[in-house]
Amino acid sequence: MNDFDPMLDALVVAEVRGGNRQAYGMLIDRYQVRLRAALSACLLHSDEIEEFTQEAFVQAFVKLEQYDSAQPFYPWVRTIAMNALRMEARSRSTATRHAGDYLRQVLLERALDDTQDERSDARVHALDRCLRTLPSDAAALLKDKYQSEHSIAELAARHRTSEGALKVRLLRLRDRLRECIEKRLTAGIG
Amino acid sequence: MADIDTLLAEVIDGDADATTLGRVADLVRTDAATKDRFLAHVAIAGALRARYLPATRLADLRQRTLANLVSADDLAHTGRSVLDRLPARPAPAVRRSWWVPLGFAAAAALLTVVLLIPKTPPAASLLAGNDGAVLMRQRSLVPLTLSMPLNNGDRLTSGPQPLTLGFLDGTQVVLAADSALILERVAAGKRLRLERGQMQTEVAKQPEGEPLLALTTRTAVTVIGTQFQLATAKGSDFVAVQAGSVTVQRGADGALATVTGGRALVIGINQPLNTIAITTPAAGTPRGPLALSTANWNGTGSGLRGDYYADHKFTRLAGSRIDPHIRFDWPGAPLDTMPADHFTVRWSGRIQPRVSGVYTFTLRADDGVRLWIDGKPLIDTWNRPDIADQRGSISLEAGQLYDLQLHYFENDKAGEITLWWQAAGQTKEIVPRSQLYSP
Repeated sequence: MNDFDPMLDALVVAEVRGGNRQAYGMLIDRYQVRLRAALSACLLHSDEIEEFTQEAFVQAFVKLEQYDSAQPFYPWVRTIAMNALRMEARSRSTATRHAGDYLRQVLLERALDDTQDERSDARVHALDRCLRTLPSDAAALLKDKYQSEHSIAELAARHRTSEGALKVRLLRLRDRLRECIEKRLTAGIG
Repeated sequence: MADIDTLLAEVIDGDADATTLGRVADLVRTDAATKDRFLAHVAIAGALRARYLPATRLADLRQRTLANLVSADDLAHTGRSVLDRLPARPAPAVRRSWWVPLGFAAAAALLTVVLLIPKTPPAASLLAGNDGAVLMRQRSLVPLTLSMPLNNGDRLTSGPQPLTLGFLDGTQVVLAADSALILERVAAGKRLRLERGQMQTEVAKQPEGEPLLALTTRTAVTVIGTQFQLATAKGSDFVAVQAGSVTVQRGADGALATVTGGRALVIGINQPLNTIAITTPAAGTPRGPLALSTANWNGTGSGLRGDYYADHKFTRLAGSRIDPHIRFDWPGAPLDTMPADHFTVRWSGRIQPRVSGVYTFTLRADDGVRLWIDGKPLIDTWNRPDIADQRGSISLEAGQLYDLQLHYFENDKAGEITLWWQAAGQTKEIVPRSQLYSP
């Protein structure tokens, strides 16, 4: 898939600039999964990820005249999204007392790291490769967990295990993926 | 004290209570290793969530975003800013704008008018697979949505998933991933021009004198009513018929052939139009997305011979074996008897194509590779390694055995190599064991 095909991006943007707002949906279709993945490194809750993703596309539309058609669209909208996260991180005190707010702030501060953008893209690419190395039952469990949106209790019942055991198994699987991803990123093969 | 892993799992999987949150926050605040672990797990969980996100959620966001688009021009007129600060806390997923109620009222009025007009079903419409697909209509790009009517002249390019089109008479076309199709005529006397890739078509009985015509740049397939597949690639086309029959005409010389159920035909430039037998699914069996049948030239191979060397010059042989296919991901050494870095592998043997036509071989390797088929060099990155996919093409005859030589070297860090093949009538796949023979 030509994720970074600037020619197609430019065609769509020209169409949108010409007044066809519905054409903008094509850019959303092409890049929202990638953008969600980038944002999810800095946000814990899926409704926040959803909100920032939507807002980034809306802001990109507002600023569309500033977009350079010679460049691919995705890095541009990603920058808009990460800037929104950075503003959010700077606007809040790190001395937050509430535990949930503190963890949120720790994640948001990631967005202040300029190299985070590229890393999130590389991580997504490496994740695909690393998922292939998992046994099929492990891959099926991850798919079940993240696609079906079942609760942990439902998943535990489906996979005939206890909730505690299931959570730890998910954690172990993510550990394994993390090691694989880091190995690939360190080796520079994505 | 509860295991830190259990606490982290509670937070990341989203149902932690205030006590657990507090304990994790304390640990993250005071222990750098726990903080790193927390950050890594959130990132991976998020990437997994994005990867497996249901299509309905993607469509929802698209729809909501489009409904909330306000351009810079609109802002100049309303003075309203959508660049307001984002809420600190999770907000409701739908962000309502001032014009939404007005929009609803207008839509309701329009709907009332539309409902009073008798509807004519479209001659053709999109049934499935709009994600990542593109529709070009009268030189403009139009977003593809499910059930949208399709018109004469529409050019459809599928994304990573197949597209399914339905016609008023029950005819269905499945356009394979990464293929392009022009609907030259969608009503009776249908004309479909396959520009690139493959399509599977189930044609309902067509009216007398108005057959469906499926075209490529070099072939015309005339159909009254049947199930058939058409694929086009550089150099040749491929038609396979599951039931009924079709008439095939080669554009270059006007040569005609009839292909009946259970037969297939490769249409090359100078090849005789001889059909071959294929295995067809039993009646009533659901068909997969364009898995073109190639059973007639299924081979009996067991793989290529791999000679593994512990140096860069193919001199220090560390071991040999038969490799059933070329798909390796080596974080360390391939064999215990060799180093993890600075090694070479030479695979040799023969390869047997399943269909006749131009084959494209794709190699992904870290670091360098050289590939020869039938003595001809197809891919060479030996002096300029490149992790990007490399491709080379060659014309091959079904069933014949061709010499294959593949050289690979690994410099440092992790190594990997994968070899795929693809041809008209054969989707891209890792070259299977059955078609590879040791010397």
